[in-house]
Amino acid sequence: MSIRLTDIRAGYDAFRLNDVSVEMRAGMITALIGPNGCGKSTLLKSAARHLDPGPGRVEIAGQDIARIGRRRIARIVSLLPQHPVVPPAISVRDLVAYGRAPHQNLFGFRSAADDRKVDEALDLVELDILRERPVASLSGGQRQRAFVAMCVAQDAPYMLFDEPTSSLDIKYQYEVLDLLRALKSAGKTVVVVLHDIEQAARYADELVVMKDGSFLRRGAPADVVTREMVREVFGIEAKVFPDPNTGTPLISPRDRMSDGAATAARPGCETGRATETVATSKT
Amino acid sequence: MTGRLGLTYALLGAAALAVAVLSLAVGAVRVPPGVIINTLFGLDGPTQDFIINASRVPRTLLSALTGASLALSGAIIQAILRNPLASPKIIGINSGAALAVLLAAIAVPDLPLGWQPLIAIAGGIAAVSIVYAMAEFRPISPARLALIGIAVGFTCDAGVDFILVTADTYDISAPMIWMTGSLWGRGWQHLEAVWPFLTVLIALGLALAFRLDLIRLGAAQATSLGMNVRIERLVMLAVATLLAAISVSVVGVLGFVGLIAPHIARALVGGASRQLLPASLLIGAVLVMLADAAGRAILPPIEVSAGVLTALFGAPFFIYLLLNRPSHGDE
Repeated sequence: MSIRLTDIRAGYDAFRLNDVSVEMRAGMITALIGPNGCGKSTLLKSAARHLDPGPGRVEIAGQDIARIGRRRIARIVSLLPQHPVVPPAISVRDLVAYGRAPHQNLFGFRSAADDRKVDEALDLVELDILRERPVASLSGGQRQRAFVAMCVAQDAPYMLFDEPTSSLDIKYQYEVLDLLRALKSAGKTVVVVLHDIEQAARYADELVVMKDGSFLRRGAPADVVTREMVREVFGIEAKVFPDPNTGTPLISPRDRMSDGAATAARPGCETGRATETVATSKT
Repeated sequence: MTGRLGLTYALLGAAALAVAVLSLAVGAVRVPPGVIINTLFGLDGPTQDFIINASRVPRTLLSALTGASLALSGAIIQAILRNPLASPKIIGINSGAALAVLLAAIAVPDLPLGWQPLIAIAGGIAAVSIVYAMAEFRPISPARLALIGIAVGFTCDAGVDFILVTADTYDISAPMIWMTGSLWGRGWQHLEAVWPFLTVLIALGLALAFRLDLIRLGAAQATSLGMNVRIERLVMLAVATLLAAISVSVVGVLGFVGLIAPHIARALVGGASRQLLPASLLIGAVLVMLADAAGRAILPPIEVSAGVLTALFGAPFFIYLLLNRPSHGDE
């Protein structure tokens, strides 16, 4: 009952995944991590078939989703894009109700069941009292909760989120992450792209590490987030130690200013390049 | 909320009716309301059969129908392009239609006037097709669609300007009146030619309201909700293009209605398409009927083009709306 990706080669003109094969297990939170441009969002989009997987295959709960229509895919898997568009003059309730689209006809007539799902979603994200407010008037954190509620109303068993915490204040980041945990408790399979490795380690059951369009490794946060991985994938020297609250790994980069070796190596390199540029421009 | 919406629609409907009566009353000959009622309902007393039935009734109906169509087209295009500045003009419909009509006028000076609407429709559709084909060349984005539309529009406008300054004035006199957007000389035969198409297209446009709401969430979110964005966007664009091109073909380039009517509607009923589209439709009908009636009333017997008046009075009102709109800092 997992999401199984095989030989995914999705991408754009300038960037393609290198035949990524990975499985995201059912009933868990899987976080995709890696540096910018490593292909984690591309992989996520392929899983919901927003992108063509090339010669690869996407199976969700054993079903090849290339064989089924968009509407049916939308009843199985939902995806919240990284920068959701806020249409002008739309109420919170209207927005959340759009989540019911895959269950409705072309005209979007709502049934009593649809209304119930929308109410439940609004309750879950605690936006019930703001339901008549225009989405555009909400704070960043409230807006993101409204979009999560839209996905909740969509009621797909597999829920994907592309950097749902980006550009939110820290309080709201944890609010959204707690919501993902609540979704998992409700029996959903959650796959989320996260920028923050520590948050990913804290909330996810499994991490999938990507680099340069390739799958690197998958496993429990404590096994995956190591000093070696942080150096190899993110290019920083750091100490990795368990969070005193949760036991999940925290990353403390070495302070370059106080560390002799690093200070000598890095700024020296920078200065060297700067001088070189000046020299070139003079000639 | 529902009560307020109901009241808004009732007021819009009343406004449409009042403006329709006004449109029947004014012109070179003023007809008192009593006479209008006598004529329309065949009552005893003084009547004005020719002026009302043969001239002003079809003209009023045509202005209402084309105004409604242009406004609906504008509302659909604004939703597809996710841009409040969009209108049928921005994807090249008006300029394409104008260029085609002028080209035909200088190429075949003896062309019967009856051909002009067909050429205008063909020109509008051709321009949008070129825009769409170029935008589709790479993964389509609303911004690129709009930019290519503007570029193609400017190219057509350059052709229009060139013809206007070089052509024999006699050949292009009829197209020039049409280009300012006028209902002058429009009658039953024009109404009969377009109403079946426009009515079907309006019904289609209104039926698309919910899907239009989804596409306004952006291609990624719409895909996630089970939409085939490419195909559905093409259908919406086709409906909007036909609505505008057919309207423009009979009443000329009434560019401003498609931009302003959806904005007024949004201020009145909010942004959900199921409210926005019908409200835009009513407002568009009111605006064009009003502009046409005013054009006949200001300097009788001379007529001022409806297109001139919609822009002249619509633009300040539009600015007023923009300045008074509560801002959420999102646009």
